[in-house]
Amino acid sequence: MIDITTRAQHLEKLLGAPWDAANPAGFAAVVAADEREETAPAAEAVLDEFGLLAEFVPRALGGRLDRIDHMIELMRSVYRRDPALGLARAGQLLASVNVWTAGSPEQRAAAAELLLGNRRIACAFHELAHGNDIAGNEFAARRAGSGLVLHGRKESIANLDLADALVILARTDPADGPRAHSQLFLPAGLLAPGQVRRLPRFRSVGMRGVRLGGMEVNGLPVPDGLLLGAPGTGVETASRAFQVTRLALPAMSTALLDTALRVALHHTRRRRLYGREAADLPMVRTTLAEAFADLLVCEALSRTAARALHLCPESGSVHAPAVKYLVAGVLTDAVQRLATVMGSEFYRRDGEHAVFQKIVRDVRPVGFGHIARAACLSALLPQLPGLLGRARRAPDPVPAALFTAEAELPEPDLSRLRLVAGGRDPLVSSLGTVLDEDLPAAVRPLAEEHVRGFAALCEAGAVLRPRQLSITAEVPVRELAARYTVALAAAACLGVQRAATAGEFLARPEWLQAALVRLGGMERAVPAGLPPAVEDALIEELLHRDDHNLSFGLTGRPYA
Amino acid sequence: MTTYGFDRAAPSEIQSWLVERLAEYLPDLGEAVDPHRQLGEYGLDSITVVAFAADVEEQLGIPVDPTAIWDYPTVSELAGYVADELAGRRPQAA
Ligand SMILES: Cc1cc2nc3c(=O)[nH]c(=O)nc-3n(C[C@H](O)[C@H](O)[C@H](O)COP(=O)(O)OP(=O)(O)OC[C@H]3O[C@@H](n4cnc5c(N)ncnc54)[C@H](O)[C@@H]3O)c2cc1C
Repeated sequence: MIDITTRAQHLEKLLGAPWDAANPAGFAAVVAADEREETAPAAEAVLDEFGLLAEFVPRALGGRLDRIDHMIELMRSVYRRDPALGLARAGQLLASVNVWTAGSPEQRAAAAELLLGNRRIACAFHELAHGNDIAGNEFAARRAGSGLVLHGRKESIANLDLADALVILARTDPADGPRAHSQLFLPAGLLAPGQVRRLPRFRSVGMRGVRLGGMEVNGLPVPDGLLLGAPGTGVETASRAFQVTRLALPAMSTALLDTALRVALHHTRRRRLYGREAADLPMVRTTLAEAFADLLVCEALSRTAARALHLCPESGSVHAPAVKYLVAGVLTDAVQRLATVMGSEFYRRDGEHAVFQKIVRDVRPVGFGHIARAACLSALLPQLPGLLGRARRAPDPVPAALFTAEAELPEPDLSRLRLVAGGRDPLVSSLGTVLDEDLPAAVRPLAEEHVRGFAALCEAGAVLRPRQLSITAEVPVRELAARYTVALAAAACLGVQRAATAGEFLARPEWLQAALVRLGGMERAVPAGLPPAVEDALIEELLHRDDHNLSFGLTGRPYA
Repeated sequence: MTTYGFDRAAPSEIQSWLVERLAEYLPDLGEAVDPHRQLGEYGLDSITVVAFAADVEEQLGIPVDPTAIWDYPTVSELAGYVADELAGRRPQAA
């Protein structure tokens, strides 16, 4: 097994220097491809050469997936160049996690073989008429003799026209209810033109290079053996398997902020205004420092939650929607603020910074694609009373490997993912003992503020009534779920700093101060500013990484 | 650790406890929950089912996955399931 550092460096080398206008996988090529609503062909070829899809295939099936945090990290290299290039590949993770979770040994082997051969598996779940309400899906697989007959429409499916196979969510029971749907894993060759009409490609504002297709199926017979898992388990399988993707996709997307920050630095360090670098203007400096802090918050939460999928998979039903909600929100806001310091340069579709306007468009689907942020709060809310109650009474023990820099992790076991956490959340539990730790003096008041905030949340949770938790929950009640995600992120940042190797940037208190201030601001209407010394430390690190071509997230890896 | 307001060995008592508990989730229901009617017919959405399952798990101290409610979709069937779980007559839910 080749370690993550070697793999990431190899991929970076293949992708080449991002700013080089002659690099067919660089920013210029990526923007030109986006104008054609494509991904750069040379970049696609690099990913095939690297065998990127093997990163999604479990080791037992011949792939390289043994750590979800590493898979995410590697995918960030792709997303940093072009988020559409990343999503067009990561979209196949949506299909394959369902196969790894519920497939028969033959189905798992077949899916692995496709991905290892650089072929595509589309995930055909979405129906425009039902949006996030997948249990409302109507695409039907009706029993007919010993087989099934398919009817219905599916829209906005990534890679549908290129796919060799599909995972489809279909209604197998006309009566409503959570057992009404099943999943099918079907070779694309079965989509006979006589019964399947391909819908025109969907055109989108962002992620333009992702080919979104649709199909209308009218009486297509397929064999019964294509069912993925037992009949009626389609929604259940998705609810478990998608914990991986609802966490991993936003986690990969932190690379959009890395690129936005890189371009903003590139521009404002060269732009001279009023006799100085624009990057030296206090307003610009603050925006850059805050965006850096926001990126570290997103990566700390997503890395910890990804490790939790290995260490305490039963908490995935809480962590996955929490990551999606918080990370998508923070990324979108941070990119928006950076657009303001880009000024008119942000608006340009040509020139060396044109990739910025693409990032501004590409970041939007992080908030609604796969599942809406709002739906994530709806998913968290019914779990809150149990989570908050348990956090007060009997906090769960915290596995050290959640935070340690080079933690050893057991291989992921998707069969241990549950629909609910049963109140168990070791990450949030870690807030319980944080004040007993040897905290840097400057961090302590901020940590105390978060611990107090969480205690107040627990009080609010204790008086929640069942009827307040449904899909029609009022906004102030849903806010409690949002505050829970802030507590998780604070716990993750505290843990990451505590476990960092002495002498490294992550072991320093400044970024943690910044992170806790930013998170504190999400609980109040008016965010506090960063102390000047903290801002200085962040800017110094940012410039150092920019000068040395290092990535801006937790790991600061060499970036080609 | 858990205090029950009913005899945990008697499915009928579990059933009436579940009926009362469920009423908390259905504030607009003018009548008592019919133990033999499908919960879906009461408009119990998937989100509420998660809350209800977590609640029953919390109160009874046994694991109750929402799938248990999917598979035993009336109060009467659910009471039978819960009684078996409490009596340890069933292998642990997966
Ligand atoms: C680039 C891209 C790639 C995609 N790839 C695929 C793919 O490969 N396969 C696939 O199946 N689909 C794919 N999709 C579709 C995607 O999954 C849908 O966009 C998604 O299901 C959201 O549906 P919707 O936007 O219609 O939201 P709707 O469900 O119509 O939601 C509208 C709004 O209602 C509110 N809302 C919705 N649900 C809730 C809730 N539970 N609680 C509270 N408020 C709520 C929210 O404010 C939400 O934003 C892709 C989309 C994009 C943009």
